[in-house]
Amino acid sequence: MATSSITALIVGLALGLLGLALVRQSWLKRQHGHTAIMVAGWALMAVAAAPFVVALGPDLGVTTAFIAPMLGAMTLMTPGMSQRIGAPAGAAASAPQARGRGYATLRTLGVSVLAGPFALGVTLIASIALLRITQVIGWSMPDGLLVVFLFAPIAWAGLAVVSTLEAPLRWRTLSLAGLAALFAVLALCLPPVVS
Amino acid sequence: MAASARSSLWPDLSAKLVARMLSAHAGIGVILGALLYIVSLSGVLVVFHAEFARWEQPHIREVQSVSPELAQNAAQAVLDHAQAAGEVPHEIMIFMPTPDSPRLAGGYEDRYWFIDETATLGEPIDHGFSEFLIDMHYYLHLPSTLGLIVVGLMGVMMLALVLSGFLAHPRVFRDAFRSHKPGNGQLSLADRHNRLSVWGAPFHIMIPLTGAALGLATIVAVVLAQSEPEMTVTDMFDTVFGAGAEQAAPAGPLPDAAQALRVVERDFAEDGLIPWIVQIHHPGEDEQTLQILTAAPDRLIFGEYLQFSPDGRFIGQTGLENGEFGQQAMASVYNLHFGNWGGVPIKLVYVLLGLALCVVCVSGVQLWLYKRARKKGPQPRLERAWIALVWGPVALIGLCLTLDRVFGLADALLAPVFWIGLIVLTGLSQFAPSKAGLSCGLKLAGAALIGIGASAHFLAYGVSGYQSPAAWGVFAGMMLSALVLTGDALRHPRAEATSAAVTAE
Repeated sequence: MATSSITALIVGLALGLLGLALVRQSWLKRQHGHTAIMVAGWALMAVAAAPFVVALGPDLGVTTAFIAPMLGAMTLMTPGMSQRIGAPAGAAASAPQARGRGYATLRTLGVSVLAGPFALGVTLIASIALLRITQVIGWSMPDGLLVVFLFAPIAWAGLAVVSTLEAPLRWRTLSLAGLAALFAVLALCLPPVVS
Repeated sequence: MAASARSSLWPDLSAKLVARMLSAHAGIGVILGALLYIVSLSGVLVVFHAEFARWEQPHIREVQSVSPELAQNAAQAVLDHAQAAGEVPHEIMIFMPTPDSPRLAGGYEDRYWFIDETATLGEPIDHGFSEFLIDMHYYLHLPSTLGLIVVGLMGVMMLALVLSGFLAHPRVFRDAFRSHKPGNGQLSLADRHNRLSVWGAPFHIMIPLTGAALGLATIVAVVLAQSEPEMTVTDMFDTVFGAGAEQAAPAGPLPDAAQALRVVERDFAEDGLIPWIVQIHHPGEDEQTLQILTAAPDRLIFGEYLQFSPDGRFIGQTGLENGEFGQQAMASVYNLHFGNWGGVPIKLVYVLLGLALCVVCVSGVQLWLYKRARKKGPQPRLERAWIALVWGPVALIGLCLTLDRVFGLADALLAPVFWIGLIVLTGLSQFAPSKAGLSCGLKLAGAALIGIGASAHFLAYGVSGYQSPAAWGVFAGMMLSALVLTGDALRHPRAEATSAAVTAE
């Protein structure tokens, strides 16, 4: 590695850690005005990406810029976490209730189906619509596929969260069904992909 | 608290939404906690899968590079071996030495050998233990397609946990540096869970996102192919990863891989590409083609496919290195997920962050157990089962290592030993006299088994047999893990007793 790259790495690391130190400082002063110092800290952490990119290239540089403050902060927080934590205290509030256990199991099963296969189905329908949208707006196939492949897990995760919210099950089911219908109509309105 | 009374930059979420998110977060985490933990733990180990593979056969001679002629002769030797056995290989692959795996190897279908400097096929490749770990992380030892989908689902649920976790804890960023006094029971545990979650967030989002994208790509592509009449799954992946070499040669001598390798060294070294896998389709048969997958150690992409004519002239490249943004990004997903882009230092960073993810998984369920104990009284069965699910996999991986290395157990039996063992351990945990004893016993068992497996392997090959530096690294890592586990196990009863005294007070 060239000396200039090593210098850039050191500068990036220093900027990232200085930014982290400022963010921590702002947190310590949180009862007083601390916005400026906090913004400066985060800005420094963002700026630290530049020397990393210079040293390692765009892909490796940005990735390393994320890692440096993460490790720094975890090191900072480790002393407070290193002591073992005891087992849960056994203070009972009430005896477990047996009633409604069967209904609760059925309900859990229903939620699992909603968050699993049903949410996946909605995601896949949305993926079809999304791929068609990318082609309509003139994106290349690899770019479109990238968006779809990254969209699918995020969308499924979002829908899984909606499915497990503490709200009436029928409300959640209807929401997902509505989304599925919406994306299906959207996909049908768009022209199919031409290879 | 004064701090929270001040106006903040962070938007406030409604208490109702926060409560709902907390319920979603706990629901997903508790149902899938054990599997998420096992996928995370195996992921930590798989970061070093190339080193594990080198450790398993530590006596194989390692070289930094080989001549193009040797690679050509190696391909011929593999073909001769296949023909002598009356087999017609669909594809021959020659693995060139790379920084991650500095060994020459080659073979066809599922038969591969190390190859020496005279192009003679040597010892068969036998990476039973590292493949056991890889299969656990990729497929949870399920049949491959189903396993990919299930592990993809784990990635999705981990993303859902990150999302619901941040929405359920609106103060989590404001409290990014808060740390209660250690030993403060549930609060300390919540601190550990929340602080690691906040500061590891980029990693905790990136890992499941890339993992789920890898796992779900096939199922998404199949559905897209069904919906688009003019596209097949193959078309879709070919637009990104290429369709292979197009110029085919008639039956006869193998394509000139040596010339192609000289072209790679001459024309692509400047781009940071080094030869990795020489692929000859239909070797010796009609329509044989030549493609070389190169590695790109200075990039995030896993490599670039170069296509050659039968006489070794460069025809074209797929574009993973310099093509569309989508191609380059998709080619980066694998290395980004497995930490295979910055040598051993980055792998160590991935191990640390991966262990932090394991701690987040475990502490999340433990927090739920705390809350449940407060609401419904002690839950000794659940608590014991959870201890078995956390420390059991460590002990069972140690057991598989010992069975593989000491007793030479068939590779196919390692997965059943692990999963049946986990079920049995979880069941037996109910009869453990105390939680502290159970936890301590499992840690000590894990430490002993890892120590025995690693030592037996070392004794089998001896100092002179450990020719690979990676083998020494893995051996040292295993012994260190055994020591850490032992230290933790011996520290445990004392801490447990202190905690009990505090509770009693």
